[in-house]
Amino acid sequence: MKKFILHIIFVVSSSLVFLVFFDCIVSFQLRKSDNVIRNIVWKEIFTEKLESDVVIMGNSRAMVQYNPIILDTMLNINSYNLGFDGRSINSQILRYNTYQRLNVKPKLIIQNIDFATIAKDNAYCREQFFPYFFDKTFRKEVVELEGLTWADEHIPGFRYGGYFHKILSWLGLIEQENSTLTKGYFGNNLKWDGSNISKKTEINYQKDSLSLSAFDNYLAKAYSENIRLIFVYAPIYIRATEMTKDLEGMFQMYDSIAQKYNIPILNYTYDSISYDTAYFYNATHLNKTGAELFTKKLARDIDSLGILK
Amino acid sequence: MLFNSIDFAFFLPIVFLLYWFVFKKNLRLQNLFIVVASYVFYGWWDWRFLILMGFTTFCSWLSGLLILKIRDRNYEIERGRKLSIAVTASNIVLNLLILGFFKYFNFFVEAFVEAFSLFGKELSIHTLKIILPVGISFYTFQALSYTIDVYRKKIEPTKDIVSFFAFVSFFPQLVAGPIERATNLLPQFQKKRVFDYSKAVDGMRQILWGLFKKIVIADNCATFVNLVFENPQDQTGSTLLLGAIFFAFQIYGDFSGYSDIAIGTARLFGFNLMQNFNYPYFSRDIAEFWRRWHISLTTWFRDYIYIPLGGSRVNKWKIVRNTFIIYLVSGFWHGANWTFITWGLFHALLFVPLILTGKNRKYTKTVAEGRLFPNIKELIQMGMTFLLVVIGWVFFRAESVGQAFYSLKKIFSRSIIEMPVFDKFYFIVLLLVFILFVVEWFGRNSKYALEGLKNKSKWFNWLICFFIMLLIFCFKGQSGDFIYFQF
Repeated sequence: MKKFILHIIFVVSSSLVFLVFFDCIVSFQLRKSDNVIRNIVWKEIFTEKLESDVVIMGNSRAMVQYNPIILDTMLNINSYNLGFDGRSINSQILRYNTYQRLNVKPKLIIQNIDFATIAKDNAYCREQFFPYFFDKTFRKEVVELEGLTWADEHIPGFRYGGYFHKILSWLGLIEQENSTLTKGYFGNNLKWDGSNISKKTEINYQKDSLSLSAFDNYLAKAYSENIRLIFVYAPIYIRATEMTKDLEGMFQMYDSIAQKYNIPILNYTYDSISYDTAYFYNATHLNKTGAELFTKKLARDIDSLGILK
Repeated sequence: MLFNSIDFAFFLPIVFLLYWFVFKKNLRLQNLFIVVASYVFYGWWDWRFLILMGFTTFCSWLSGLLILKIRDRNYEIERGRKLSIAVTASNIVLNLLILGFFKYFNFFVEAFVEAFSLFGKELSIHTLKIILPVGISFYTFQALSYTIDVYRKKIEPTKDIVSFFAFVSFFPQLVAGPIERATNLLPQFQKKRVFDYSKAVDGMRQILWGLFKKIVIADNCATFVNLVFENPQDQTGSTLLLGAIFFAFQIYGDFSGYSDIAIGTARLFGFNLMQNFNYPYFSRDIAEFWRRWHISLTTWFRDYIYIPLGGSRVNKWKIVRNTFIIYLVSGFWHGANWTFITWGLFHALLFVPLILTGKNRKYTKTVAEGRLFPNIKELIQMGMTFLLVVIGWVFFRAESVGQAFYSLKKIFSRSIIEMPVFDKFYFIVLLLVFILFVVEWFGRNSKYALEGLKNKSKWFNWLICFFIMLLIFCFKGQSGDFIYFQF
């Protein structure tokens, strides 16, 4: 019996030692890596002093459609794009809170809003959070958001279980990703591909109650901290707009939230950009050309609002 | 509490240490501790169903005592026999009613309503929101086997309620088997257990192999399977076939993995459970497959339904009838859905020709016994049997019979020659499945694939075990539950 227990202790302790070393080495290498665009923003949030007056918030549509360089040039500001690919408002808030905790508070938030903003969150590319678990507050928030286990939170390296191939990919050992990110913005040069709506007949706008509540809390906090906000409906291809079920209902939802906190809304749903596939790489995302054109229009409209004065 | 969870990782050592250090000296207390631990294990999911399990266990124990009392009273033979039958039948009916209510009530209501709608009558009957207690099919059948074996005088009824409760609720095999027979497991609770180092190490090795099959093979296959079967209309025939093959490995990895963990865990406590899987995908025909797949359930049906119906010692038509009954009941046992019944029917249609031609026991020995590799004939036989089993799995996995036929139609269409569509990651999963195949092939004469390691050097053992642990860590799948928990 004694021998058996000693063997078990040996296995458990050597596994823990391995996990500790694994965590240290892998997390360090992943934080350094520029091979995956999802890491670059987190790296900049955690390691650089981002003294941005203006931040852009939203999902992938924010990330690929709002060019901060153009905004900076036209509005004479320092902006940063916190757009969070594949993630809805709960994750976006996590990213924003982390940004605000470790960097300078912005004066203005440009919040992209669309049919997927108030969705229930998913576990898309969860591994992007893992290298930053050294930050206790961040770790707790991620564990709560992602529903991670006690073991993921407290046992070093355990959270990386099952992500071996993604780690190799992240480190550029099995594939290289196009990782040109500029202040969080990723301009996509892909050609039009309408397949993301060709098999669909309708798009339902998401209205998860917990996500809506989180959104409200985030706006209330910004309001109390005198941070200005603008809601922006960025262009999506008109066919996708026509397929959106109860579009008016969605507009009313955001209108009522905007009125509560006195947030102006800029709506580009029916802008001329939305009618031309030359500006899109799929039905719900602008390509680089479309993004640049849209950002210029946005900059002019923000300027005319006088919100930065 | 899942076997592959942190909760269980804490639960098991605590129970193990208390079992061997605190309760070792008193058998009754040790058994009582097993009962408490098992009820905690089961109650972790939903404490409300502890009462149900306790009730069915008590009724089964009581039925054994009543039969003993009837025998002790020395009634005239016929009267005694009738009373014993009445007690046994009552317990069977009670257990099956409880099982039937929780598992099949809504199915029958919906089938009833649908049948009436065929005649143009719309009935307004509401189904109930019934939660299916985890493992009810398993512990019910285990308790029933005791009652029937007592009646048949295969085992003496026990007055020891504690050991009986421990037998029914024994946590390693409580929720997904193996479905143990009282003749095998109950006596083990009635005698002292002694810690055996080599058996404990062997048990740990089997647990490790079970975890590999579940966490690496089953959970990774599950991701692809779910993608494919969520939208079969968007998939090519080749992708659907690949999805079905992945499902074959998912269900095997999941279920046999669970059984390995259960058997290995039981060994840590000094118990020997029956083997539940005997390398079924190396079968040369369907009959052999059914001797190797979910052995505890198939032998249960054989001993308690097939043989009492006459088995194979009756005329041909009755053999066919008995075969169909067994496979349909087996399908129905798996769940309240026409897909499972169709799956059972499919296997019955494959099995009947073998039994009618007397070829159902053609392959009783391990394939390529004494040889390293199979010959071409054996390879073809295994391939064909595997393909037939995969076709059957399409029914098992599909949401409806219609979806299953649709998927099969697509599989056997021209789109079978198109390249399947899947992420590059699944090449890694295929490699892992290949590793499973190779290890199981070379271990096919053992109770579980890694059993042969006990004859190798200590260093080789450590190397292999750490390598498997590394594989589990690197390729841990994202899925969670064991498939058979839903039964």
